[in-house]
Amino acid sequence: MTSGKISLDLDEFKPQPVKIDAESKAQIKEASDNAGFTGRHAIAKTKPASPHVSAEQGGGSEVKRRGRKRTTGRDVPFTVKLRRDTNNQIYELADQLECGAIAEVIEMALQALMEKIARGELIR
Amino acid sequence: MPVISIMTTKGGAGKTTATLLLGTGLAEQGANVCLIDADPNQPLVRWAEEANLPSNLSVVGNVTEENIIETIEEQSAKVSFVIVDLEGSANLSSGYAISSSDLILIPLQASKLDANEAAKTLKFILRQSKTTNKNIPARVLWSRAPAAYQTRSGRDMGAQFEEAGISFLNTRIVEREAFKGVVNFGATLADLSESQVPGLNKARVNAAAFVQEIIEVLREARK
Repeated sequence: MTSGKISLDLDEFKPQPVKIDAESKAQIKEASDNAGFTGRHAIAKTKPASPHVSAEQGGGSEVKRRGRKRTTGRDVPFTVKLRRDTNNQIYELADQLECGAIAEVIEMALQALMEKIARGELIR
Repeated sequence: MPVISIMTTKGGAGKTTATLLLGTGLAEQGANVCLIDADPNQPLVRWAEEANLPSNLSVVGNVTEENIIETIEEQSAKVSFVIVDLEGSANLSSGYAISSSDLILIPLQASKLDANEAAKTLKFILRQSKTTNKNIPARVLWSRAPAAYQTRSGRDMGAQFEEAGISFLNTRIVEREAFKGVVNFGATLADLSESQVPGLNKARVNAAAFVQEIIEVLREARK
């Protein structure tokens, strides 16, 4: 096409009412809520603590392990030693935010940090 | 009849621009079009307040999760094309709009943040398709793309989406002053003049290709 002038035959597209019944609407709402696509005034659901982050184990002796990887293009290993509570906090956030990978928490934390720096807020 | 929803959970991805280009483009072809503004910031309503709207193009504002289904039902009975511009967040209105739609467009810029949000949106669309047992065609739309080339990150990102079986529109909405001019001057591309914005003809060609491809996708989906 060499010009912005087009001529389309749109006769086949006629007004035709869409209908969503009450039952479907309720199903859609439930599925949306479950996916985190909530209403503006929805009350945030508190998720039951997973075994990994229960109060008893959160600061206790169990060290959380990896195993949440999926193919995301993150292919650089990054090994660090953390304090146990920092380690557990990362995993707790991953659960809370439904992250598919621990790297996602780190990426989000970095994003938040960059935004803070951009706002001129001192961080240290 | 077609209801087209434009959504992604990322703000600033180009949803309103795509809505305006598609809506005004279809109206220029003589179709009756309704734009539904489901973004609380009401960008389409503000645009319409200043714009010289053609008589076959209407904008409906103040649409929330409370009334979006009824609004789509009402407008789809009146006009040939309903285009829903959604808020850039994970919201219930999107859930309702998906289930009422014949096509969903997901604008995407070549940034990791946009890609993550587009992926989240696509996952949600897939989930809603299963819930309602309705196959809802969705296309990713490169938005605010560089005019002459595709960035390496854009290519990599596109390849990853396509590997996952997600289709892109062939037409990319290029970053152009003329598209900003549509919003800034409260105009349509047809109304703008070269003295207001540069590169108008290229913008019109780009917008026309976009409209034409959407019609082709809709026709394909009806088969």
